[in-house]
Amino acid sequence: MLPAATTRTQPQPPPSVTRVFAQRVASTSTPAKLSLLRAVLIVLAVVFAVGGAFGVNRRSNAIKEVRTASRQLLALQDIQVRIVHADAIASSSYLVGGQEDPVQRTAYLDEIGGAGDGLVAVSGSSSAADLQQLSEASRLLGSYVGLVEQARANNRQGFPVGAAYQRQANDIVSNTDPDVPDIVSSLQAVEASQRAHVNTGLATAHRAGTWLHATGWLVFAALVLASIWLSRTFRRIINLPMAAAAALLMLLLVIGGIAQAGTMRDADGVVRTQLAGADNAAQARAAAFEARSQEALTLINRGNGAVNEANWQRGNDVVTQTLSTRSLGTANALIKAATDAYDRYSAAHAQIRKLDDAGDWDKAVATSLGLDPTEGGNNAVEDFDAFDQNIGQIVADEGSSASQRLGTAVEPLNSLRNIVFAAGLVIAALAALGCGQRLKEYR
Amino acid sequence: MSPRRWIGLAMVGSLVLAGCSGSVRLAGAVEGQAPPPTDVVTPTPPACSAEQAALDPTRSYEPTDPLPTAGSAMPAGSAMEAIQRRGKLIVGVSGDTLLFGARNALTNQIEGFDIDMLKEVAKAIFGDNDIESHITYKVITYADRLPNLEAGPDNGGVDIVAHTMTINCNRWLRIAFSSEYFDAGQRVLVKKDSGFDSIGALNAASATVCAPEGSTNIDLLRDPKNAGLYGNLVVLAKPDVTDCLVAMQQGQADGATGDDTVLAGLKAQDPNTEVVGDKFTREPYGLGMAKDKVDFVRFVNGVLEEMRTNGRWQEIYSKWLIGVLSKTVIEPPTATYGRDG
Repeated sequence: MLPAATTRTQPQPPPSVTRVFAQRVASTSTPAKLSLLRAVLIVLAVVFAVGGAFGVNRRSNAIKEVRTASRQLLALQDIQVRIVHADAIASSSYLVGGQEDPVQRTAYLDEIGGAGDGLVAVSGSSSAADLQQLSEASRLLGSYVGLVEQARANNRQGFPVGAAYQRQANDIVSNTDPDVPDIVSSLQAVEASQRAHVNTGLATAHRAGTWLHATGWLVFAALVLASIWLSRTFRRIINLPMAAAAALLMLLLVIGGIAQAGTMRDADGVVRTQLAGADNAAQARAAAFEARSQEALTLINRGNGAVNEANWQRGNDVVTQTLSTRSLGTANALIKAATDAYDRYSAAHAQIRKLDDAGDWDKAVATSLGLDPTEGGNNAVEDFDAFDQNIGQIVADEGSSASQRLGTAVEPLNSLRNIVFAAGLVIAALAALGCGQRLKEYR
Repeated sequence: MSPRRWIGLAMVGSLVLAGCSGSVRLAGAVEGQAPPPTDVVTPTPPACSAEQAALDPTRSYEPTDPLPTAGSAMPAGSAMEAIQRRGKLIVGVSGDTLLFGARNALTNQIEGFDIDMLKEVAKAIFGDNDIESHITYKVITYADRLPNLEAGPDNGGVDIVAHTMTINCNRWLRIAFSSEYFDAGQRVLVKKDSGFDSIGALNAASATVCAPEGSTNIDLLRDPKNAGLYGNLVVLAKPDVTDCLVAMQQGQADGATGDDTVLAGLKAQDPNTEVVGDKFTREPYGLGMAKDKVDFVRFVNGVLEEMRTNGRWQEIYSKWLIGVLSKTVIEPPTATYGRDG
């Protein structure tokens, strides 16, 4: 006998949450729906007030961080320039031995003192990783000063061991061995970190604008949909408070959008032009001083400075690349003057090498020290100084302009933040009023 | 278009217009490039056979006799004629070996015993007049001495090297030497009151000893055959001998080994050091020249022979080394000749 047939009931899937909510809302009375709508609109408007103000504030803070990082970057580059300048003076002074120029000695001491003060100043607002590099730079600077004094003391007594100390000192400022620490590498690591801060700050500032617009358009959409529902449900063409809230919000999004776009345009422009100009010019300046130091070392090593000449070429490559391919800001007259002066110095250096390689070491030294003009009538010291003054002016002008303009750029955002917060609360009140008018009709 | 789409479009548009996206970035640091180094193949230095090593390495070529009159036309086709035509004798010297070849910080001139030897060679070619204008000094390290002679003056090298260079058999395979012009020996420099009185005492204490790379001094310490004598030493190699003094002053080395001539110059620069122990090697110095310039070697030997006999060698010794290496003037080492070439 066959078993009796059995029937099975298929289990029904549970209804979705939105469907349940929609069913409940549909089965709710109109006054209850109005109350719910009022609550939703108030919450959204408050979210806009808080979120929008937060976004504007975040953009403002991010640009301030860009400003802080850019000042830190320029301060670090100033320290680097001071140290490589001091080293160029020390190397050149070694060449003149006992007849050291007191003016040059004072300039050396000023640059070392300025670099030391600068390191203390930048360390105050540095991250732990940056602080480690800055501590290393400070430690090496102390060693460097000691070695230069040893070189100087030995040189003044006529002891050739001074040259060994001078070489060691120069290696502490910069060397090409990645396993041997040097001051320039430590500073450049922190400079790279500050450039990264500038870039992340700028990206954060860009993204922060989303808060105001995302929350604003959400509230605007809610106000439009609510107005449509009210219009259909109550057969009124317009709900004035709701329309006023939407108009106020639209006005705020337009004005806020313009203000924020202006700020970002300014910030982008400053980073692209003034800050990049100051950054690139400072790099060129530091590399040129390093090259100048190496030029002196090629002469100290008399006829055997191939390694130092390769280092000169490396520094020269940084300068020429920067002058020809990187933005140096907007001061075209200064840029041209710096470029022309460097070209003249570079030609003088070629002649110095030619003289030294041909065995005319005395004339090579005299040319390097500016005591003899070059064949073309140029002067290595005057041309280098002209380059330094012009490029230094670019760094100072563009750096100061960048800092000032980034400070000005954020000013409108402070007002906008307060306006957004207040407007958000007004929109909440208007939405509540709009819904409240319809609710009154049920009382 | 529905209101939702309008609102969506307006939202996206406003986000773009309000600067919510951006691509401005501060570029990274400019990386400088040096010209690529020329490929230098360093061949294994040749070594003398046992038969060659048994011969006296100080044997040089017979001297030119008589020498051409100083400043007159040198023999046609000779190395000296090429130098005279060029107007410059290109010399490889030390720039930091006080007393033998070092830069005077006050005058910026290179000076010392070796430099005066070279001036005598230059005078024999160009005459006495304004001899400095006929010499091009190239300061080279110990390790650069042989490569500069092998390269030659037309390829960035030099005509002659005077750089406290020991004559030995292995070097004869690469360059040629003049007759011996100075008899030096290896000793050791230590800090005063260090308690070390010889290289043996340093070895017993497994001390760190510095020597210039490319010198016979460091070769001796590294030679496995000498492991019993120097095997415990920690050898610190530096490019130049003054770097060894710096290493001692900075506490990286307990001592520095080198020729007594060189160590005397180091001691003169640091009164807190002393040269201790007996000479434990013999280091006969020769002027180095290109292996194929036998006529130049003979000429230089002729110049040295004259200096031995006319008292010029003794004058130069008195000028630099009396009171440093000896209390009175000494006699120059006797030259030995007989090398075929």
